[in-house]
Order: sequence, then C-alpha cells, then structure tokens
Amino acid sequence: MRVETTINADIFEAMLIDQMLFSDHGAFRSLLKEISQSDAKKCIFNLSGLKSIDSSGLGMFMIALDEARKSEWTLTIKSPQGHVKSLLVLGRFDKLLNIEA
Amino acid sequence: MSALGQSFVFDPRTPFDERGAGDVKEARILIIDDSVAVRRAIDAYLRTDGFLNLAHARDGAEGLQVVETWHPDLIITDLTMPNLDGFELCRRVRSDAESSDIPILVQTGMNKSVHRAEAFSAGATDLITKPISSGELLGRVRVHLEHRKLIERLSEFQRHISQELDQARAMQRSLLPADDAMHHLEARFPIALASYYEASIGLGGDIWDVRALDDNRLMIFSADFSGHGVGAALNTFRLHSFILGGSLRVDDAASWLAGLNRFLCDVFPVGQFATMFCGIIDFAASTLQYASAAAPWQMVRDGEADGGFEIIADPGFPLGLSREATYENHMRRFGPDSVLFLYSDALIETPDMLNPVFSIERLRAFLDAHWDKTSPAAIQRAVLEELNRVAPEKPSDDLTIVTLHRVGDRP
Repeated sequence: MRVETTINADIFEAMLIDQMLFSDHGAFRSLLKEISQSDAKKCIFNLSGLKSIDSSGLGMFMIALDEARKSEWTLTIKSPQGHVKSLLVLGRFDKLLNIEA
Repeated sequence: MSALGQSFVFDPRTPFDERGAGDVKEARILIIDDSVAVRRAIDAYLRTDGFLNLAHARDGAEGLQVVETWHPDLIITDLTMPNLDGFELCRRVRSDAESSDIPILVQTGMNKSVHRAEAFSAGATDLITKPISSGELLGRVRVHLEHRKLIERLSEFQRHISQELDQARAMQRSLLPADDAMHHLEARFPIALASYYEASIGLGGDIWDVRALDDNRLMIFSADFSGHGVGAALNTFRLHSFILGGSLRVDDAASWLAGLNRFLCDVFPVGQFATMFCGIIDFAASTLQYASAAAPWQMVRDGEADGGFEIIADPGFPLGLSREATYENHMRRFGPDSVLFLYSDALIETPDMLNPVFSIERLRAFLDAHWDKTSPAAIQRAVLEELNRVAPEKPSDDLTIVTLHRVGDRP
C-alpha cells in the first residue's frame, strides 16, 4: 500500500494506492495515529487508486472507524473501484461506513 | 551434539554476552598445520585464553578424519600442506552436510587478493594473515564461535517453533470433518462429498463443517477469518468450541449466522471478522436454504434445470463487526444431481487479486466445462490442477474447497 496525504483546513485526505493487505497493518496504524494527532475533524480515505484489498484491509477500515469515534473525527470512504467496490458491497460495508461514490 | 549445542531457554531480549559466553571456551577447536611449531604456537595462544578442547592434525587428510570423528566447533587450518591442502579441505568440509556449517579460519601468507578470493571461494569463513598475532587469532576465534553459538540457538528456536506449529496444524485439521464422518453422512444422505484444505503459512483461518440436522436435513458451512496465521487459527478454535457447545439452535441459516455474529462481536477485537456461508439442504423438499455473511461468490448448480453453475452473489454483513447485523435467508431448488461448490477467497485471488487464475466468471465456466455429473472429487482435482498449472506457487491465503453433490435419490 502506498499512501499520499494532504491536509486542507480541517480535512485530512489519504489516497490509499495499489493494495491493502495483511502486511500493511503497521503502516495503517501509523496513518491513524497521524490523523488523530492532527487537528483534522474529517478524514477521507480516497480509494480511487486502490486496486485490491484483502480481508485484513477491510478490517482496517473498521479499526479506522473505531479510532474516528474515539478521537472525534468523521470518516468517509471515497471512490472505491472494481474489486474493492465489489467486496464493500458484498459485505454491506456501506451500512457501517460512510461510502461516497 | 557439539559442546555448543546445549539445551537452553531462548530469550532474544537477553544480550548474547549474558547468555553464558563461558560456553565458548568449551568449544572444540581443530588446528591443522604441517608445521609442529605453528600448531604448538596456536595451541599455546588458545590455551592461555582458556580454550582447552583442542585437537591437532598434520595435514588436510588427517584433519578430515578428525572432523568426522570429533565434530569440532571451529577449524583453524593452513593452506599449503601435503596430502590434502587447505583449499580442498575447505571444499570437503563444506560439501558434507554434517560439517558444512563449521567456521573455518584459514591462515595464509598469500597476500594477493586472488588467493584470498580463492580461499573464500573454497569455503573459508575468515582469513588470518601470517605471521599470526595472538590478539588477532583470539579475536577472530571468539567472533566466529559466538556467531556459531548464536546461529545454533536460533536454529534450535526455529525447530522448537516448527514442532509447535506442526502440533497446532494437526489440531486445527482435527476441527474439520474427518473422512469417516463424511462417509457416514454419505451413507445416510444421498450425497457425495469432497473437500480440500491447505493453510498458507502453517496455520490458517478457514473452517468448514457439514452435519445432519435430522433425517431430512443437512447443514453445511464454510467460514474464513480475517488475517492469517496463528491469530486467525485461534479464532477457528473459538468458533468451533462455540458451535460444539450447542447453545445455538439451528432454526434456519440466517438466524444461525445472527447468533454466531453476536458471539463473535463479544469476543473479537475491533478489526477482526469472519466471512461465512451457511446452507441447509432439505432432501424431502429438494431445497437449499442459505445465508451469507460476506462469503465470496459461491457456486450452485440445479441438477434438474441443468442450466449449469450459478453464482450466489447475495450480500451480507461479515460476522463480528456489528451486533445489530441481520442476515437474510434465500431459497433455491436443490433436487437430485444438484451441486454446491464452496470455496475460500484464496481460490479467486491466486496468484494475486488483480490477475487471478480464476476470476469468478472463469471459475463458473470452468466448473461447467469440467463437471462430469458424477464426482465432486474429480472436479475439485481439476480445479486444483488448473490452479497449480497456472500458478504453481502456494496461495498466499488459506485455501478451502468443499463440493457437495446431491446424487439421485435412493429408493
């Protein structure tokens, strides 16, 4: 997984690129820490460049949601594509997460 | 076992020099040189420093004999010797599995880099330049013995972990239906079953089961816990124990998944979940009732319609993420000659998710092309052969395949 972040006003946007796998857990936890330590009130995970995700990767979104609740920022998942979008639909993640097309 | 290979309790946090560096002094050191004077000098340096397990050999040939019978922990050898020189000695020590990891310190007066390179190429671990100074000799001896000791400790630790994993793997396999249990069900119900399971890295997060609910109904499920390895495997034990405990009644597929979901929500940390497919086959009604908790796109074939395999694409919440999750029952006809093909997502994600051997549609078409209407084992074999042919490397996730064929009804 590659991550590109931008902070604009109080919005933290992270482009998650390529793949989200079991091995990305450490990097993702660091990203969450970075978000919580910023003054951001809203975080957007932009998935337009994310080509695939495994079950651990989907679990990371739930960890992010938990962190968002604890640290009082909101989480939006934006622009999932292809395989990633199919898995989010299959697991009804749209009922748990705020997902924007 | 060598003097260095004693039993121990490995704690990687303990600095090496606090883990009994005295052991190094008990190491067996073989000195090979055709010069008595040089052998005696090296012997004296080592004894003065506390190394007492020493043996001598006059040339490479005699040295090899000592290596075979005495199993030294370190060899100090000259290069130019009668009978068998130091280069050939190095090569022979390295080519024998019993001695290939013994450090060899080569004394050399050859200062040309080509000769030094040749010594390393033959298998020397390190070089000591003649004339030998006791400080340099003892320093290098200590370094290489401690290095060897550390490697032995790590190897022992690795063996220990490997044995533990073997035991855990056997235990995990015992959670899956045994062959005789499957044969018993095949005798009781008009079915033929085949299954395949392979953990990706020793232990895995897949589990499946099939069991009779009554004389007419049979339940089958397949689950995949998020993540890999020990953590995912422990979750399969959790699930198995809970199901075996019998506190959850099986009224229908969806309410059973809802019950499992509540249990897993209580025990899972945030971020862990499981996907699961649960089907209940009613042989009297010729139906398959099923519910899915984000299971991958399973395949079903209606034997009477003979329209080929169909993809089950009904969505559902993964288990363990939300206590409020509800699940839906779906119903399909499942008459004689129908087939249910369950699999974990490794099948459609190998060698990788973007370019799998089997996309979902390709898997469906492959099943259609290879289903011979008689043998679930044969179609599984065909799937696995195709997977192995195109992607011979092991899948990066645990792989489970279960095929249930409803054969013609018995009179």
